[in-house]
Amino acid sequence: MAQQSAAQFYERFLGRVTLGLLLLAIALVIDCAGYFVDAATDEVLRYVRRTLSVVIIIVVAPSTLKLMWNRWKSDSPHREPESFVVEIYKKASLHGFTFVALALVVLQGVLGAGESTLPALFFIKAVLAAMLLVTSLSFYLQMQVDDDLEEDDFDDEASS
Amino acid sequence: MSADLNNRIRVFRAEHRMSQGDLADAIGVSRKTISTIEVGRFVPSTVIALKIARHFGAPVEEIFSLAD
Repeated sequence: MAQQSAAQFYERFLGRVTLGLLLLAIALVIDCAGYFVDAATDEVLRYVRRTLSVVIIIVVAPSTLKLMWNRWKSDSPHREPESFVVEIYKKASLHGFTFVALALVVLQGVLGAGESTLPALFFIKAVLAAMLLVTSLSFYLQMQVDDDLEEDDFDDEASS
Repeated sequence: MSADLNNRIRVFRAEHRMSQGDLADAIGVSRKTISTIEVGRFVPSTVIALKIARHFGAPVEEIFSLAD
């Protein structure tokens, strides 16, 4: 396997974090769905949530530990503050935050101060799920656009 | 190409017979970062621009210029 540069490692790390966010969002959506189903179905959903939690740890923990280890060993090699992927990660986070802020303002206007039969925890989970979904999907969409552009290699061009 | 910034990285790469990956490794960024700078999708920081210029041994304004 080719040696991975520090920059490539950091971008892979961000990709894994985003995948973790997406899985967490799905877990929260399933959690919210639990409020609307019967006890037997909720039991199944609980099993799915636990499985997802384990998958999230498997996806995110190894690269996080490796990043921490590398940073502890040396001060700078795994830091790439200026990078295309870092920029789209920041943009995706902004999209997620903006979406939730707007959604909360709209919901407050629509629902007003009316009483809800659902507990506050449901709304907190729903808002978190929406934010994480928008953030991760925004990241993947921006990455996808870039992947279409990326195939340039001078040696290949010279031979064609 | 970015509406604000033109670049000649591709020309310099061709002169030095370097792939995007070679240049990325040389200045410590990812290949994706180089490819997106080339097509104008990502406007590089001053630090990256200066690293690219230093690598090619050229003034930064020879590689990057403001669009008219």
